[in-house]
Amino acid sequence: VRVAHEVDVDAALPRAWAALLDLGRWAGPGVDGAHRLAVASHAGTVALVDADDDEHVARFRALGRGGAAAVTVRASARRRASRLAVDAELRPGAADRDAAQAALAALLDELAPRLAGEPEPLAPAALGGAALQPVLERAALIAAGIAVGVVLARAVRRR
Amino acid sequence: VKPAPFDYLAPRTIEEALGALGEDARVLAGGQSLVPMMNFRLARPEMLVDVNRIPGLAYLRAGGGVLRIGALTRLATLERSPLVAGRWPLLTQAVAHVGHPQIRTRGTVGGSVAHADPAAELPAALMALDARFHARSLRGARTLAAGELFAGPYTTALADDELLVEIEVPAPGPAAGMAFAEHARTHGDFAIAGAAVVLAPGVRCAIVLLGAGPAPRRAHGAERAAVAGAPPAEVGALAADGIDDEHRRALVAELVRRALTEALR
Repeated sequence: VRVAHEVDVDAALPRAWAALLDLGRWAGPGVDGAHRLAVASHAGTVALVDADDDEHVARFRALGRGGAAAVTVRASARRRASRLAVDAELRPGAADRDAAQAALAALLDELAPRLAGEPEPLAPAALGGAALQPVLERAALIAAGIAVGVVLARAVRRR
Repeated sequence: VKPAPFDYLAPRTIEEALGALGEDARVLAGGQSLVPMMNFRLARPEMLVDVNRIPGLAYLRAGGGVLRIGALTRLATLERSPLVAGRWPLLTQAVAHVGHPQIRTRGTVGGSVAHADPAAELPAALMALDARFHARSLRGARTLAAGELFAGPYTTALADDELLVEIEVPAPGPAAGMAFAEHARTHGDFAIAGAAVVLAPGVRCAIVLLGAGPAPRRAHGAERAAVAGAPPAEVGALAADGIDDEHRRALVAELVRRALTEALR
């Protein structure tokens, strides 16, 4: 079964192309060239087979629970953005082509922001630190307020 | 059979790997030649430097008229690549003769080159395509042509502390025909002899023989005859000229004839 879908990436072609070939950025850590792809709509591995930097055509091999897919991505410039035309051949063929088409669309919609060069998702430790930062700032203000209050109270008592 | 004791290092960066390479260390990539040799104690390195966990060494990228192959690219990846099949079909043909699918799944392009088996397919095909080989060491980087790299049986010009990182293959041009032919006792066995041919009629011809000497070698006299338009049988006879063993000489002549005929189609 062949399915195809197009998605726009909010980045100029050179940046989107570089991001597309950097699997560690939009997929995840990899071993032996195969990167773990874990997004809401899909789980499996993806590996880059080859890439033509002149034509901006890249081929990937994806493996998931349902089987394998040979994926061809053609990138082109769209004003200041880029368009990725994705063609996937699924093996063994999915029973429901419409479902496969919908799954591909969902996957690409999820991946497109990652290719646009949005900030890297923060590591859990960093995420914890970031979440705590406003709380710590507020706590420091409260502590400073208490300290000032204590000093003023002592001064009033001495009088 | 078990290998002699050795230390094992799995670096995560090229620099770390280069720091570990030296006289008593060997690079472990796919392990399809080195590990059997170690099991038979034909190779006894004191340390194996496993480069499989170094990111960025496995890729097939075309651009600016060349194909760049990361040294850690698996033979199976090269074999299945539509990009390579379309513009460098000689590599697709040659790699299909390497061992069996299981071997090609693990074996790497860089490993096949660095192992320098005189009967290996890829070194001959890469030489016919005028490939250039990029190596790195802590001392710096350098690039070698195929004629400089392959020094003899299982011997290359790479120093003990050098790591082959990339192979650059120029596009042979749309008018060039190319073909690979070899003879082995059974499919997947080591070739007895073979030939890789790249031919742009009237312009350029490269005929590289494998199994016909200590290293892959070009048959310059036969190449000149092919450019001049000599019939394939005559070119084959010229290519085999000088090979002592009668059986091998006949094989080389026939294989060159077949490859050249195919390249002319």
